[in-house]
Amino acid sequence: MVSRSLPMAFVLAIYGLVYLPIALVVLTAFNQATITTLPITGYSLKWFEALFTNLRTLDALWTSVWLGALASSAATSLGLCAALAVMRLRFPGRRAFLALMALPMVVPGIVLGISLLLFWRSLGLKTGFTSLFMGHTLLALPYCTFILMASLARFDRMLEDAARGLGAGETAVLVRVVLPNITPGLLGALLFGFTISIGEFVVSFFLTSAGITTLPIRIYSIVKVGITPEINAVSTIILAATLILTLTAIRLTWSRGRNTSPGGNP
Amino acid sequence: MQSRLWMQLAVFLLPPLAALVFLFVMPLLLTFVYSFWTVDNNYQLVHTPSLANYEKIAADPLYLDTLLGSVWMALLTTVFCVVLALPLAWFIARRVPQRWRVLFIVGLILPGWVSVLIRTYSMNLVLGESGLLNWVLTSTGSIARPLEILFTETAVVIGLVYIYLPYTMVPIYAAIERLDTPILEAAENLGAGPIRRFVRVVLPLIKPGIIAGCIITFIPALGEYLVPNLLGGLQGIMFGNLIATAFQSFNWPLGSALSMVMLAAIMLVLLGLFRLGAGTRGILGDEEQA
Repeated sequence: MVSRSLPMAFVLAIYGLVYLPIALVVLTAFNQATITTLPITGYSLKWFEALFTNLRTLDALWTSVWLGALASSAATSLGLCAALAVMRLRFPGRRAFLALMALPMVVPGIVLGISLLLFWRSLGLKTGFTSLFMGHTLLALPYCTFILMASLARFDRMLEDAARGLGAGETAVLVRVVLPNITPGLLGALLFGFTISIGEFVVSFFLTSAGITTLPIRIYSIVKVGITPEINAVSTIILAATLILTLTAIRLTWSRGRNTSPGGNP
Repeated sequence: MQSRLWMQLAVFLLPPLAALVFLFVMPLLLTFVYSFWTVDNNYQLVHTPSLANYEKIAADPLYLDTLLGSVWMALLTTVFCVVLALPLAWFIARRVPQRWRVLFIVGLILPGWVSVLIRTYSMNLVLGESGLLNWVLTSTGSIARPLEILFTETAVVIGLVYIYLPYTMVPIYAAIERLDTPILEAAENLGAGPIRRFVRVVLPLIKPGIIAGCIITFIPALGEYLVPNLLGGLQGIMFGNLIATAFQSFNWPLGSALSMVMLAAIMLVLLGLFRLGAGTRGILGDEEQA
């Protein structure tokens, strides 16, 4: 009995520890008191109300949503091109291209941020929404590409050959056969890209200007002074959005793979 | 036929390649070039190539000490993450019934997608002077005065483990899930005890997964900026903070040189880890199955 319940207790303890700090953010966002700790003295929505009357925070929210939508669309489009090239075409340097694609994932955010800042300034451009958009696109691109590569790998190429045999041109094959079949992967890439963008801080920190604030930068600037329940309310909104988007994205990209993935079930 | 391949490459490969070159390769090259420039007393760029920044980094013990300190903290983080992830992944892959497994693994991956900023400052609410930990400990009477954990190296390592555990989990879990049960049974039938089975049979088989887990944990942990910034205070400073400080004080060439030093350290570690996993291919995973 001990040998069975002990590992279970260990596992549940880990899950508890992983979720505890996040739960604390959400709980204190609904706490009536001004302090951001336990005990909860009473539940209230006043911090959310305060949030929605705060123009600067609303502004940051709006910027983040736009930025996420644009950057994830760009990264998904570019990622689709990259995935199609890698999975469909045989060309010299294919592995080198994949390695280059994976590299931004292992370069620290601070180095990416400052190098983009240097580059941007040396072009004589001012940082702002465009530089943020570029940075976020770069950050999301590898993830979108690898998700779409996995999607394409699962897709049955016989369907393409059948379409070609029936006289479809390359464009028709792509638009009417390939794309509809990898729609879950495309949506997943969009959602993951959006999630990366909306939570990103370090790269944005170096690429913003005084006039443009994303939600994480707004949160940071307040957290540096002192954590307030209002910031917990903003974070709760980001958390809820992230959880919903990520769960949907995981469902889209994973549930299908379970049946065919080699690492699946015997 | 050949010209069609070229056309297709131009359509599909060119846009993402151009994006990577424009947004990643060229900025990094520029940073490399910047690291050989200097600034004068008025913070104007001096375009004469010199090793002055690197000499300054080598001469000032602050930089070397902080680098070594960062390597140490990242190493601790990696060890803790692997030690936690191994039994966890083993349990999920081998003990949890098939239909619950997805729930368990998604439950662990999910926090990995939550904003690092939010997860880091949520650690503030736990470790702070009036945080959850101290509230629990003082109200149960375990301690008389609040622990001063926040703004120390310990807080940074706790924060890093908390942030990176989901990432460490994924490759280790994938490796354990791929394990062939008959091999384990064969080892058992041949008389190998549980420890021997683990060390001689399981460990070599899941080594690629463990190394991949170490890579995805150690590298970003070493380059971390935000976690030490929010949890480390003055004590728990990491190399990434020095880069930011150089930039914020408008010494961009010095910051660039520091970035290059960090990249070199990361390359060294990568090389070492790849050596360790020599003969095991497929960190990217896709070629391995083919």
